[in-house]
Amino acid sequence: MENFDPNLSTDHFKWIPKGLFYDLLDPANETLLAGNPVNDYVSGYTNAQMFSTFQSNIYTLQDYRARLLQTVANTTSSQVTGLFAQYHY
Amino acid sequence: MKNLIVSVTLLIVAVINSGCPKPCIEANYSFAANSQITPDLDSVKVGDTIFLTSSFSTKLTDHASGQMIDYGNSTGIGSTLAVSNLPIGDTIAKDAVFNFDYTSLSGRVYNDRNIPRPDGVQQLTYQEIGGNYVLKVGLIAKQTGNYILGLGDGLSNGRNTSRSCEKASFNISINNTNQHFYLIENWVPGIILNDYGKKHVYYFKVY
Repeated sequence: MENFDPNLSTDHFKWIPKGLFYDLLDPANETLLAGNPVNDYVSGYTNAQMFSTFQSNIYTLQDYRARLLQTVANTTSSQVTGLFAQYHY
Repeated sequence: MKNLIVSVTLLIVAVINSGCPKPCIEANYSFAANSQITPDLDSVKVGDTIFLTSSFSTKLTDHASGQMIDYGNSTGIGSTLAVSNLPIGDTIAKDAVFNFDYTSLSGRVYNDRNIPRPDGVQQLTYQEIGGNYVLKVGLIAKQTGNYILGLGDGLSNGRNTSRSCEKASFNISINNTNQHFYLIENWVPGIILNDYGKKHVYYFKVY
C-alpha cells in the first residue's frame, strides 16, 4: 500500500487512493526526496476518527477532507490538503 | 416454412458457436525486476545524457506462489520516473520533468497530463523483445541543479492471450548503480532513507 503510485497513468485504478488512509494514520514520513511516491508528512489520525468522518452527507473525497479537517485537528492537519492533492483529490 | 426452418437452424447454430464468454482466470502475480542508471556519475554536464535501462526475461518467479511463470504478451508494463530538483538550501523538492529532454531507445518515456504531478513524473513503458521485457530511455540535461530520480514499481493490467486477466506487479529496483546517497545526506542533513526509497532513488548534479 505504501508503494501505491497515484501517478502511474497505466494503472486503471489509480483514481482509488489506496494509500491515503494509511498515510493519514502511519507515523512514517515518506518523502519524494527519499524516493517515495508521495510526500507524507501527516500522521496520528485514528481509524475511529477517519471512520466517524464518513457521514451520510459525504459524497466526495473533497467533502471528506473538509469534514476531517473541520472535526479532527492534530499537529499535522496543515499537511492534509497537500496529501490529498498528491492522490489527485 | 422452409425458409423459417433454415433461419431458426442458422440462429441456433450461431448461438451455440458464440456460446457464453469463458470465465476469466484472475491472477495477480508479483515479480521482481532490476534496473540500472548509466553512467552513474555524481555530476554530469548540461547536454549530457544519462540512461535508465532495465531488462528481464518474460519467465519470472511469482513471489506469492514461488512458481515460475511465463508472463509473455503483456498488454503493457508501465512504470513511472519521478524527476525532482532540490534548490540549494531548500528541503522541498520541485517538479523538474522539463529540465530534461527525453529519448526512447527501447520501450518509451512520455508525459501524461492526467496525473496529479505531470510536471514531476514521466511515464515508462517496457517493450517485449525476444523473450525479454526491455526499457532503455535517456534523459538529456538542460538545466544545472541538484536532481533526484525516483523509479516507480511496474504494473501490467493483463495479457494478449487467452489468460487475458492475469495482472502483474513488478518491484523494480535500481541495482549495480552508485546511487550517490551521500549527495542527499549533504543536501538535507538528517534525512532518513527507508528501504523502499533506497531501491528506487538516484541522486546527481548537473553543472
